[in-house]
Amino acid sequence: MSKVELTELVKRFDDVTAVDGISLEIPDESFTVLVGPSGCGKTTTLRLVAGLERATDGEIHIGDELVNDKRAYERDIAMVFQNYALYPHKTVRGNMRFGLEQHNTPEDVITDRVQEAAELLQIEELLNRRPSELSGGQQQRVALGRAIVRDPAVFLMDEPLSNLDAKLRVKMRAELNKLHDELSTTTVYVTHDQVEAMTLADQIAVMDDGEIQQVGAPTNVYMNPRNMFVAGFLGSPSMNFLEGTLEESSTGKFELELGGDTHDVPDEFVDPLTPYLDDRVVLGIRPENIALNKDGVPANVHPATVNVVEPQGEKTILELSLDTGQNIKAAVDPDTVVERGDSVNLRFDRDSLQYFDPETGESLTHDSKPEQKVTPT
Amino acid sequence: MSTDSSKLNRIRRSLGLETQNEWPSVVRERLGTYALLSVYLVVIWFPIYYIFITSLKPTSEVLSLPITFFPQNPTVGNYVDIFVNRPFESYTLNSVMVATTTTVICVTLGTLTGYSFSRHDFFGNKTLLLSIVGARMIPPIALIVPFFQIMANPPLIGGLTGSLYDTRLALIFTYTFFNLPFAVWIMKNYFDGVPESLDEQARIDGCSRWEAFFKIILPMAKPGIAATAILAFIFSWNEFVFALVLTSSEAAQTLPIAVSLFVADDFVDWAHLAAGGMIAALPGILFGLFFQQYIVSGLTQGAVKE
Repeated sequence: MSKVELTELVKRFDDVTAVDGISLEIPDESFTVLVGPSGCGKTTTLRLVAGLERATDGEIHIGDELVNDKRAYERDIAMVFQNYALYPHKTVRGNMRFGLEQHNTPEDVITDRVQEAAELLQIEELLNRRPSELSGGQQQRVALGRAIVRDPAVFLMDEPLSNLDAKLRVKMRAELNKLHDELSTTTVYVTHDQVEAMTLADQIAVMDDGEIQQVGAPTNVYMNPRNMFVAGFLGSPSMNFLEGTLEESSTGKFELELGGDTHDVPDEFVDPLTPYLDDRVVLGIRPENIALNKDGVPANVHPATVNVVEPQGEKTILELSLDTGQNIKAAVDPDTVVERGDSVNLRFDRDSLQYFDPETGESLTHDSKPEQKVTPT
Repeated sequence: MSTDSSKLNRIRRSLGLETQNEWPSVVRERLGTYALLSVYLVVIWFPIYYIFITSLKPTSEVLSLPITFFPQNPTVGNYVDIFVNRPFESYTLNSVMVATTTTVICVTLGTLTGYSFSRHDFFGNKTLLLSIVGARMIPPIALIVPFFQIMANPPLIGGLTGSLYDTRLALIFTYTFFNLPFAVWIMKNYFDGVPESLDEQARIDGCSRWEAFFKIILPMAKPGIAATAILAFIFSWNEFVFALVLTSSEAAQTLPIAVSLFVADDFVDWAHLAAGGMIAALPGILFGLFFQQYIVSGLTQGAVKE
């Protein structure tokens, strides 16, 4: 078990900068997820930690050891690849043994470890088969087993669930969670799937454009995003952004003028928003924090027209256009009776509002909320 | 149609009307296909059959009319003759040496080079690969004069003198020249189809790059290697024109040349030519039959993304 520390890490491929000076502390025994859109540098970061790529600049520490110049096999890591990378000409047992054999592990230790890992993953009856004879889910388990037998300081996982079908993915996700509870090995996990990131992580690092946008406990990052990218990336459907001009009303309250409709800014945001008076500000509101107000209580509602109704079972997604012309999505109770073309009033949950600078995308309200401490489970 | 006939069969059977020697339905439904393939088989096997029977006939029967399609007095005399009266053991040895050495060189260098091209994105990578494969696009016959001159007067190294004319080495050089580009190309394509994450997994598992190649990648490349081997072997085994120009005696002449020597100005010794032809054809056929299972997968690997 070891912590992993990345300091000012840079990786350039010719003139493309894949990783642009990231610093990240991955606590011992934590499950840290690097999440971001494709091309954001998350896989490159993982490969740098693995030793499959050489860092252009910066430092990588595993435990207390600087590993920049160490080869992959000297780093005491195990990796699970997206395509599992099982050796097709070896049996499951051969696949699991290979790493230990390469490290000159005594025969009885190899046998024991393979047996233990196979029991843990319930693949004992598959040990003599070849990878081509296994289903996707079974191959996934073997890939995990091969990592486990090594008993490494750090597990590195590169989108390990993305080749599985949706149902199996949910199942394996739960198993990964359980496995991490049992083994407590420090894990760095890369995914573009924000649901996977939210459910698995103790610590989530949202990446974009080769940089880490925000690090923290998943709920905290979700509730309290630092910028519009993080706010928009986490959550499905993603957060709505409405741009308007911040004005002071005759009563001294702040209002966001949305082009024919106004939004009253709650009092606790007056302080952070004061510098933006008479300036452009983006309001962020998640679909699940929007409620329908069909009866039309007059205060603080936003008239809109329903364009699309998408029932999803546990909730119904509505696509609406506000009377100001802006489009917005709302997630409402499935028993809500609403049809295309209906005129409705929307009510925004006043505890879940976010405000952003439209130029920089930075959150204007981020610092006004307390930061949660990350504790490995 | 097929359901109708099977229904009909069931009714017939239930009525006890089933005929005993009916063809399996697969054959009946594809009668046309079978007929066409049969004709094709006859066309391609007839020359081999004809050579075979000719090799078993005494010269008198070969030259007599009408042609006999079954030897009247089968004899292995022709086979004995060519080894006793002609140095066929030398020719065979030359063929075996030249073809196997060429194959070993092509497979070894082709595998290593192909792997490098597949895995390393070095400067000039594509240009270099294109120029290697492109060299093979030149019709061999166009190079026959330079090859003859080089082999007859090889560039002197360290004061060594001597000619490579009429040596096996000349043929091995030449055949390697023509086959190595194919070998590199086939192996490069083959390795392209092997995910790089396997190399990386091997490295994480504790292998150096060489170990990853030898322990993990190479064992997976057997079909590619087999395809490369068979192409190089059969090319070298069958090659005629360069062998004719670069050799002049039993010291280096190969079986195709040996067979052609039965054609004289005014007489063709068909019976012995046929026996020599059989000797020349057999290893190629056996080699092909043995490795053919690998050829298709070796040549098509990487063509389809799984």
